[in-house]
Amino acid sequence: MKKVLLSIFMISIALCVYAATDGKIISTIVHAEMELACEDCHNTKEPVKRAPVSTCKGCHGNLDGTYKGMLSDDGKLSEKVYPEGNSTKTVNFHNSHQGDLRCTLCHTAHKQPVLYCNECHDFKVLVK
Amino acid sequence: MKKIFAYSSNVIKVFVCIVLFSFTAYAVDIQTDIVIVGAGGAGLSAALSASQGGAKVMLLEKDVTVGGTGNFAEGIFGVETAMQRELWIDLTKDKVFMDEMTEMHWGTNAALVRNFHNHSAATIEWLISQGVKFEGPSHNFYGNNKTWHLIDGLGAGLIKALNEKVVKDKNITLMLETPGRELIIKNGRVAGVKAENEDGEYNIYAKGGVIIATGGYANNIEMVKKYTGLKNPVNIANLKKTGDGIKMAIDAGATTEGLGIVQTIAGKDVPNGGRVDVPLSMLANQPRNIWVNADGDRFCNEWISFDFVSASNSIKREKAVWAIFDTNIRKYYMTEGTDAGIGVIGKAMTKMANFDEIWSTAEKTNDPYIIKGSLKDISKKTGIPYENLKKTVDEYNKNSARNIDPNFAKDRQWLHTLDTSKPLYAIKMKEIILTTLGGIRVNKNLQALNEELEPIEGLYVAGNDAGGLFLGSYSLNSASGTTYGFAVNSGRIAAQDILAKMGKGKK
Repeated sequence: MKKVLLSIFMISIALCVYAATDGKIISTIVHAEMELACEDCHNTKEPVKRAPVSTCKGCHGNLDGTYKGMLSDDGKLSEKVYPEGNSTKTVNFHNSHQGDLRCTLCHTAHKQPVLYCNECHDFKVLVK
Repeated sequence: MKKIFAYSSNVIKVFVCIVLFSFTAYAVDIQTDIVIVGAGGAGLSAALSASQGGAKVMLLEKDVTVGGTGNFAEGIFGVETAMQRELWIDLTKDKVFMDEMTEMHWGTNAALVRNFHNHSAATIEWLISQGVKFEGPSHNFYGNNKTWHLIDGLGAGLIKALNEKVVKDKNITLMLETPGRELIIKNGRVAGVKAENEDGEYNIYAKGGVIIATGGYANNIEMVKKYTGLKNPVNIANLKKTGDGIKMAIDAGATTEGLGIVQTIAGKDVPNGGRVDVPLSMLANQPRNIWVNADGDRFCNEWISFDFVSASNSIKREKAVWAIFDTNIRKYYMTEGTDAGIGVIGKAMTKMANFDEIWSTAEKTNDPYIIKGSLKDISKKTGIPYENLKKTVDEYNKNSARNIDPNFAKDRQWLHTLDTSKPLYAIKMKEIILTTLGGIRVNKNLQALNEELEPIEGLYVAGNDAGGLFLGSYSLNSASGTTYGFAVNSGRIAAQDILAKMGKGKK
């Protein structure tokens, strides 16, 4: 009985949340173009929380369970030059000095994306 | 009517059940040896030290990643280190300890300071073994003891190295985005921590003890105003330090020491909600400038700009402070460089060749805290009475022409007559909080003490959450690198004390 009540409770919350966000993909637009459904990332038809990063890595991973950015032709991690503050920095956003960050921190899908690095830095870039 | 009533009462029953049930939602029980609240410099060090001594560790971090302000620090305190010997720096533990305690007029926890200093060399060796690289001992003030061991990659480099170890360590479970909420007290002993995250709630029971390491309260405006007396506080490089750990410990009966002491630097004031402008801060915080208060008087020897502690202590006392320099000094900054730096992020003798660009960028945002114009313009825009401001500048110019400063003893090197026939530059200054320095009173092994000054079993407090290192203010003279050094060392010492009490090996 308890489990049933919990499920009802969770589902009603989920429906509220779903109604609020509309489940629409407004960033990582490619996912919308591919017509991915909720369960493709959230593993459930009625998501109540963020997609687990394991599903992101399932498609985007570097095969070792991590994603550290697009590899160069010879399979190495690549860095690029980006404008930062009044000058530039050469970085790989997916190989942060902060270690592994969850994909959904920046790639928010149902909200405007944000570059987490800019909590401290000042990179002039847009996130997909 | 009856039908509707009967139907609605069922709905109400279900709703009430759901509401009641949600409040009794399952909390997951976790058993471990040590639980650490906060994964900054202290928490990461404590976790690795505990694991390497054979303990199982739950490491909680409320932010999305680790390190906290540890990412911004620059150097670690050490005395009698191998790096010092390599550079013929013959500081001894005794000398540095006596210097520091004299500086603090012995109004601090001498046993704690001594324990921290004594561990510092071994801690640096340990950090190196964990993959942290060092540039070496350095100065950050004239003639101060070279105890500040600069980290290669600065604070972020240390955090990166320790984090890499933590995520690979099988004894340590790191839970990100999981704030600790409350201590669990059983039979008069701190038995664990209640925590929560998106997935649910947790009661984490720790056989050995709890280490609180949440970094102080610099981001908690109410606490800052209450304990420091600072109105309109501005801080830099502080992330989510809302005093969680201090509050938890106080709720568990701990007493405090030094609440209200802050570590501040002198920089440019920040218009609402903005970030500290480092280049303009550096341009204001220079010995060649004059600093005037809201009355238009000088109030210090601007040479103190070389020591961020002294500069900010002096500025803090004034209602408002404006740094003023002229076109000749501006040219000096562009071609020769800034004499005083800001730690390592703003190096001393940086040539500010892009001065005009920095200035016009700020002008474009209508920054109210920079003014370029005549003395009358400055008076008008700042509210400083013109007559007194002119009197101050005239007197300063008269004395500077004779290389003397009878008012505040500034050395001839830094005395310039200000050319008031050309535009002057004014930058509003502010004391900017780097971190809070007081917190829970602890003994030399970082055990939290109650009001009877007895240790609270099972409770340790490390890093900036602990008090007793400083009296009045921070100091660079004797033991620079103390904030970050204490974070790492106190985490280690706390973990080692728990291990010893559990009968587990020390490493």
